[in-house]
Amino acid sequence: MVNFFAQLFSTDFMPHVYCLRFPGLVWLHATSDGLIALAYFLIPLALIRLVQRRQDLVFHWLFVLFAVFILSCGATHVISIITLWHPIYRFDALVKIITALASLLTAVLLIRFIPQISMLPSPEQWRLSNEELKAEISQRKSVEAAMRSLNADLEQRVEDRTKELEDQNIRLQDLKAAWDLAHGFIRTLDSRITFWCEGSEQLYGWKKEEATGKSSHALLQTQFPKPLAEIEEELLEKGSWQGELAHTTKSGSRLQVAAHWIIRRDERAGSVSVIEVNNDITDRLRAEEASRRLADIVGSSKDAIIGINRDGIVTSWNGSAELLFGYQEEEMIGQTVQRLTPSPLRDEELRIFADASSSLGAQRYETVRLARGGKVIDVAITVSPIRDSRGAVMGTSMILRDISESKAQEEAVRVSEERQRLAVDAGQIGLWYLDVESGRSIWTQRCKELHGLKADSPAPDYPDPLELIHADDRETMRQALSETIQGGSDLAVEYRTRGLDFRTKWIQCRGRAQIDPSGKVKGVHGTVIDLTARREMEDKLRRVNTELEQFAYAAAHDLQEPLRNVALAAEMVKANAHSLREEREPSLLNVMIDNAKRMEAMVKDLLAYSRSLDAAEEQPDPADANLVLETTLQNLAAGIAEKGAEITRDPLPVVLMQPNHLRQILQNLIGNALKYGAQRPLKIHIGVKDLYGDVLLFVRDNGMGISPQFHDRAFGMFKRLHDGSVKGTGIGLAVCKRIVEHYGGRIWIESQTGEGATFFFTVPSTSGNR
Amino acid sequence: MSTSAEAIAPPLTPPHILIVEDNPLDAELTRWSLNEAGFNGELVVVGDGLEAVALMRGESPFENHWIPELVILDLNLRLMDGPEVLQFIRDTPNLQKIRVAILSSSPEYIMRTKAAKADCYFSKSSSLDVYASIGKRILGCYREHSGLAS
Repeated sequence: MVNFFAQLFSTDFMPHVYCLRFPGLVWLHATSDGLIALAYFLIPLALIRLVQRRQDLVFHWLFVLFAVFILSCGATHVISIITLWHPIYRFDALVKIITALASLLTAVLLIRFIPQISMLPSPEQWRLSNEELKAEISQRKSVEAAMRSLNADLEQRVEDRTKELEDQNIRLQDLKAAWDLAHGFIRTLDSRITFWCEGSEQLYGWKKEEATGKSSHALLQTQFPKPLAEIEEELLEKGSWQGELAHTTKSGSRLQVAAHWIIRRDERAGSVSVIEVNNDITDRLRAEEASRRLADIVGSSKDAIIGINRDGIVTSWNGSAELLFGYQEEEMIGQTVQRLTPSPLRDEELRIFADASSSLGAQRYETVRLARGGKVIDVAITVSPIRDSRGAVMGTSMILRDISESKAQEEAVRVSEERQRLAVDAGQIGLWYLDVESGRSIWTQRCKELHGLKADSPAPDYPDPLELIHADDRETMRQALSETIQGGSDLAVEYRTRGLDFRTKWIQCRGRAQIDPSGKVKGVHGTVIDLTARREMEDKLRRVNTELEQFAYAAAHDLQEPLRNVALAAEMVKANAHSLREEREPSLLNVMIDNAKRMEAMVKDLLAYSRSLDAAEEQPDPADANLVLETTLQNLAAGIAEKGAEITRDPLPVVLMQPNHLRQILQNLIGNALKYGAQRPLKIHIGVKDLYGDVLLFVRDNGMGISPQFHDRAFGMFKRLHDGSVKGTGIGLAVCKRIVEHYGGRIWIESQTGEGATFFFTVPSTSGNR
Repeated sequence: MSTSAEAIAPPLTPPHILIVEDNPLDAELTRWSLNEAGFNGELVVVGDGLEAVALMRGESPFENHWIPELVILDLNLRLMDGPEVLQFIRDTPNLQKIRVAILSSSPEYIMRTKAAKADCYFSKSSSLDVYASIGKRILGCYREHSGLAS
């Protein structure tokens, strides 16, 4: 047996091909076996496919069994083909055995299950039973539809009812809201509150719980327009009552209400209640009051008040308008407002309307209007638009005021102000105001100008203005101003400015405190005047005065001396009283002669002094000092030659001096040098020097010199530093000084005794900055 | 005897007078007037304040010179004027006893202003009669201010 399986595929037998000698027969076997095998292989495939598709098939295992059995049959035919050429008869036999077993099994099972299989219903049977079923279903469906229809009807009715209820509820809500709005409550006839709505809660402040059960008349402290008994009588008779009541709220404020009471009888309960609805009319009453008052104001206004509609037609006309224009109300209502406008101003009228309609606020115009009879009146018109509730302009209200009188006053004020301004301008007065509390200042242009500020610069606030004042005068001004501010005294100070524009000015500042009703100084009003010219004039006057004094002294004293001497000498000669008369006589005569001559010389010099500044010009032309020196030296040529003096000179500058003035100075100084020259060869130098921007001329000699203690006195009138050995009246240096000072300069000596002297003097020059 | 009487009796006139005067005629008339009034002491005339100061200081050319008891002083002098001389006298300790009389042609108020510390003031006159009385008045002033008035 084991051997059998080991040799299962051995080919130790002769293949069929040898037996079937005819090749055609062999191929016929092979082909028919092949086709059978193909068919036997396809059938199980089809069966398995069927089983897969129809899962509901009963006995499908039978189909599988058939498939196996047919497949085995196919296999035997394939092996028959193989055994034609390869004699594997053992394997052939094995496969046939398996096929036989499968066929037997199938046959047995098929026979066994025939009763079951024969019980399977036929398709016809299926069709019949199906139809029966369909009929039943259709019957059921129609019953169902009938039931559904009944159901829907019911639902619809429920829905409709619900909706009705909801609607009623909404209407109730609306009613309640309306009721709340009406501020109502329900009470019994004897005023006990049974229902208190939200509106009443809001209006009166009491909550439902607080109000319910209380007496409404007591709670609201109701004040009735007439006795309550009468009202109740009317209520019961007519079933309702209307009137105005006064109520007091929980917070204590008084309300005016329009009350409406209605009787409601409940027949079933047999009870009577009062529905009371109250509307707050306090505001309306107030508005009416205000409107009445406004009407009173318009009626009693001194201004003419006119209402005009959009077409320019007068719609209202008050009493003052009647007085102002002379037209009665009934004459003007319905007329065009143009009736009041002079024809040349018609355009203006239109413009006023346009302005009033376009702008939000009131506009003011000053113009003229015509009264009855063509009388022209100066009026101020204020026009404001009248708008409806949507803000659209319905017309205008026009307030007209007669300003003829105030026009005249205004004109008077203007003329007065103009006059004042002219006076201030003409006086070149600067005005200022200082606000004490804030320290703020207001300065006019002139005020700024005087303090060296630009016209467009802001006025300095206190205490800055003090900074504009010369340091030497600042404290005085501060003191004076604080006295004015604290004590209210008048301010009067003269000060120098600091000269921000390089020009120090003398300012006279006056001020007066502005005192408020409580006595406090509110501010200071003041003026400033330029005193510079006056001050300069005063300085000049002072100088001239000093000169005059010297002049007077000279005339009174110095000139008197020689005269007195002559008189004395003459008296001595005449009286013969003197014991030494004999021998003195020639000498006395000489005294008389000398003094007379001296007197003559002094009078001449005095004349020269007084004339030294004759024909002085305000602004002399530039003069070449070299030419002036030339002339001077020519005038002094004789003296120079006599002394044999050596004259040297620097090139001199151009000076802003009159030539005759410079000549007088040079002639006196060089003349003195010659006069007081020492014995040795005399040297005189005329030079120029620059000293800190001043141009100095000087005359230097190598003469006897002057001790420093006499330097000042040398310039006094009729002062002589030398005894009679040198001729002179002592007026030359006084003349020099007078001229130099006239030009605002200085003259001085630098000298020591025996070492010569130098006379310096400043000259105004084009290069100097004086 | 007479020597002792002179020593005991106070002198009626100062022994030494200095006249500071630059006008020779005035100086001469003053001297004359003083002599007429009984002055018989020593008298020096100088023409300028500087000389007067030099004399009182004993400076050249006045070394070992006497110091005057009375100075008659003009106001207007050339180099150093009367007020300056007066100031010098009043400022110098050993000259405190000197009496100073101002004699000037200026009005008296000017004399009093310019030389306030002088003892007395006299105006120069153009009248010889008036001049003649000046010496007497100057000596009277001297006596008064020296406590010598009789």
